[in-house]
Amino acid sequence: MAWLLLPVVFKSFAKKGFYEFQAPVSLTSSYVRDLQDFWSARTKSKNELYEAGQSLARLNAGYQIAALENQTWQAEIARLENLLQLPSRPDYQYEIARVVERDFNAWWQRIIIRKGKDYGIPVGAPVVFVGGVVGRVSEVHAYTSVVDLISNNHLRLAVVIDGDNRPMSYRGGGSESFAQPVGLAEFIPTDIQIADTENRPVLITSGMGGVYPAGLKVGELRRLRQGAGGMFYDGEVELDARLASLTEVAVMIQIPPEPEQ
Amino acid sequence: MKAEEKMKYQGRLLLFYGLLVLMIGTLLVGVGYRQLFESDEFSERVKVQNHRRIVTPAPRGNIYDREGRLLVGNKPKFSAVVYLSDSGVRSAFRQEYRVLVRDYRARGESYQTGMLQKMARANVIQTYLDDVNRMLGLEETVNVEKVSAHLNYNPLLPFPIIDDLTREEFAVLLESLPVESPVQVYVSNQRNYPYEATASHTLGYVSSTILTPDAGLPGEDLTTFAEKGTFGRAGVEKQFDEILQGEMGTEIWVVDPYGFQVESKERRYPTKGRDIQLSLDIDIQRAAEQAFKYHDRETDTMMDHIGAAVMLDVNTLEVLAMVSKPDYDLNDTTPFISNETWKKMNENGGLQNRAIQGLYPPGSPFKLVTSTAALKANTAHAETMHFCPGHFRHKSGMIQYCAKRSGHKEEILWEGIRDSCNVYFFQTGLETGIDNLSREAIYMGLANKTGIDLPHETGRMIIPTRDWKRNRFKQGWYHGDTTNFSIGQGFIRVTPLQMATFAAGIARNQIVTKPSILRLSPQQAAERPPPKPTGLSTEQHSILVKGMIASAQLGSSRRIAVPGLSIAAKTGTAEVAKEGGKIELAWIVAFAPVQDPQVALAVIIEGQKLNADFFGGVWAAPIAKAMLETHVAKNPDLLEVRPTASVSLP
Amino acid sequence: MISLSKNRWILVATGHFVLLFFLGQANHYLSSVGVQLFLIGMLLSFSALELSYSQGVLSIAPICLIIDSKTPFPFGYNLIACLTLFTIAHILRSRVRREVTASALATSILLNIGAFAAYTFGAIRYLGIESLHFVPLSMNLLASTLVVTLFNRIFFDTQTGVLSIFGINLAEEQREAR
Repeated sequence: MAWLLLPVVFKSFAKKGFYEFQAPVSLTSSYVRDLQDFWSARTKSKNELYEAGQSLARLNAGYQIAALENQTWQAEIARLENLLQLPSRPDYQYEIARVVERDFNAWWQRIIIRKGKDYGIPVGAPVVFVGGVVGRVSEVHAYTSVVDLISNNHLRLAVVIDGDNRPMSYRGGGSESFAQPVGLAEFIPTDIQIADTENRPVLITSGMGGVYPAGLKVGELRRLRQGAGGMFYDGEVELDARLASLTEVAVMIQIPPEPEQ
Repeated sequence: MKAEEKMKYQGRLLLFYGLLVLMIGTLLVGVGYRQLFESDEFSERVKVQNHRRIVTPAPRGNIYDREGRLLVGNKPKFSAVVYLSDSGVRSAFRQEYRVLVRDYRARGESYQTGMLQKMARANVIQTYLDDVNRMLGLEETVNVEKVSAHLNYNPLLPFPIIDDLTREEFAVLLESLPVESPVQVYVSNQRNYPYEATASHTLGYVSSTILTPDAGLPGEDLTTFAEKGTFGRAGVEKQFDEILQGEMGTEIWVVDPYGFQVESKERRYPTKGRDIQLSLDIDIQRAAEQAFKYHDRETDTMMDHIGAAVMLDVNTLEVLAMVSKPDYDLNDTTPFISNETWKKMNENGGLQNRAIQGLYPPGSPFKLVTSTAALKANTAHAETMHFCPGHFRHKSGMIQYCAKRSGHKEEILWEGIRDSCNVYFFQTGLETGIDNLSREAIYMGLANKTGIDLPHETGRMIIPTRDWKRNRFKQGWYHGDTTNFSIGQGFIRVTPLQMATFAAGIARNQIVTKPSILRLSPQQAAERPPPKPTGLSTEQHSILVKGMIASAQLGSSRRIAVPGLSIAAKTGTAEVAKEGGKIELAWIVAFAPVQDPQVALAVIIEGQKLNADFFGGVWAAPIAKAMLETHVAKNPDLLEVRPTASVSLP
Repeated sequence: MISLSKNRWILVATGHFVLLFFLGQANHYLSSVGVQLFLIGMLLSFSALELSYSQGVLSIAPICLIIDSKTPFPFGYNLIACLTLFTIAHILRSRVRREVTASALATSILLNIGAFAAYTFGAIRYLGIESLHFVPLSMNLLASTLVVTLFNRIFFDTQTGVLSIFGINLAEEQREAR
């Protein structure tokens, strides 16, 4: 009872204190893991390293071409936007961060990343990885940040089906057996069907909600059922299973638009 | 105390104890009885007192055309709402109320509790609205009275703070509002009409109302809060309201003494209404409506003719198109009909479905009925010839004119139909007699409703008889009445749908009834009431058809011609008295292809200028042509390189 | 110089923290297979069975607050839940023969299940029931119970051993107390 009567400021301060007290330990363990990786790489033979280097070089060449193509497309998009006098879209700066700790249990799913206030990570920033949306930064500490994964029930975003422009709601649905994160989509128009189980409708961010840029993959619709109001479907969303074994993510920090001259 | 007094005292004490035991015993027995035998009744009473029911309407079913194209659907309406039963909201109400009371007391001002409660609630809702305003860049404010009324009458329903969110606003709120916030995005539905005004009268509209909960929903004895739903007010929406309505959803809540939700006890989701498929072909419908447009030279604008058009499938009597002008944009009727829209619909006569409610003299197409009656009464046959000098003089001296003042000269029956010679049919009518004419018109179903599955079909059509005139005007029947009747003028009034049904009957040489607005399965089509024979032999029937083919190829109906399609048609121009003179009505009835009729139609256009000519062949035929063209474009097998049904030049 | 005997909670809490650290590492790797170990009951059990009430509370409280700082529940939820369980166990400890390994194991398992239930209740209350699934919950509980069964004795012995290095002989103290 006494605890309940304590002022919020005290609790908040205590929480921060206890978190920061243990943070160096988990941070160190993360560096130790990196060191492990380094030493395990050192054990590889020169030949193996040489081959890995070669394949990386090939990949790099491919990416350089893709980057050039992207530049051309970006210039074209900018030209068309200018022509149509569309408002400029928010620009993001990516902060790549290593995952310090994965807390992926049956109650909640979150990760701790190795960048915090020291890198200007803001609370609420979207976090992505190669497979799409990871989640949102929920707490920022001195050298770490906590990211709630999109499988958390309290995380909601406006999504669309790839190729469609009608926004619908997505909410986290927890983790099923064997680390399969899932979600729940609501307000799915009734003309959407899952005809081909091999080629399921893909949910991507709508870009309309103001938090996530458009086009990031969220998951795939795997089952539909009649929604509460009878007018839409609710759908089960299968998220990327790699969310349970993330090692590196990117935090998207919105760059404030330059003031007009 | 003496022993005697003590005894007396103890006796009184015993009596008192006895009474006490009796009273307690009565209480205990009473309590026991109620607990054991009346507990069900009391728990039921408690349930009624602290349970509330929320009834939510189901989305209506969709309406499709015969090819499965969506004519009427639902579109979501997203709003931002505050759940007033949320414990956070209620504690905010109390907190705000205390703050207001403190302020008033500090200023030494008097206050009314009710007024401060209202203010407190509105202030709290405004703070939620301010959050939403900030997220969406809006500047909405709360209406104090609305909040108060909502809390008094619908405390269990969410209070809308912003209606009709755009997609972008909906998306912003989804991402910005915390999941556990009392402010949430709420979705209701409203009717959506992708084709706007097209087929508006046939489809009809809905009105919103607080619905009476369906029987059989759980919690019938509980205090119920029902959300607004819709019911069909006109057209198909009204006719098939029960099918389209769906099953309401219900939620039963335990409420606290203030009437706010505590715990959900039962929930049943609403089930969307069933979809229906109409017989309409939206392509033909749109083509017909487009053809109703004309350029008005006086105002230099595109206007719509006033009138109606109906096209039927000859074999199944399904309605392929049903036009009534003027009309209204169905999207203006949802979510509600504004006073302005209602006034406009009323003033321009847009509320009337002229196809089933408009009563008109049929004019020259009725000559086909006169011909049938004469052929059946043996007062005319294929070679019966009459001379048309351009007018007809009655024995009384009254003169009636033919459309061609110079006269058609000598004509036989099919030529009379081709040229729509009034004099020919005056004479045929008089020889056949009013009784035969009336009987034939009644036999063909022109005196009764067609029985189409649409609401408000008029039953006030008139097929005049001697008795009818005697009852109505206390007058006898004159020759002039017969001549008028024989050319579809005078007292006779029919609807365009009846004329289309009649045209289908001529096409099949059978009396057909009861058109259908629903798409029929082959089995349903086979189960239709059997047609009656017209009583015409094939030869007799071919005379009428020959006259109609000639009319379409060479006569007054030639503007209907569709290259490659054999058409039988009959135009007409009827007159009706109007204040200050008369207006003319342009008619056409037709069917095609002649050899194997598939579609039949009737078009009527009301002339707008007093005492001005308004010929059916000029104004109605192009609309019929547009409908037929669209039909054959979708059924090219109906076309022939050289139509086999034709007549030789006179 | 502080007396470690009078402040043995520091040693026990450090031991608990070390266990938590290893548990965190294990869970980091196990996350990809969907298993999450939950061993709070073991910590509570040791503190409740082997320490006095005040020492037990002191050893448990900082650990609970550290865990609290990393969960999405309101700060203090874990502390209250664990202290409640700890108190119950402490009150009932006179009824069991604490020197018997099986008693310690049973206490650990029961406390672990209790703490697991408290977390599940907290998740329903604060995170929403929609995202809870029966199979992963039961799988995690099963795996955790298995690990407690396997490691309870090792944990108890290690903690007791570390305390004995600093001259604290719990077994002897318990005998003297009887």
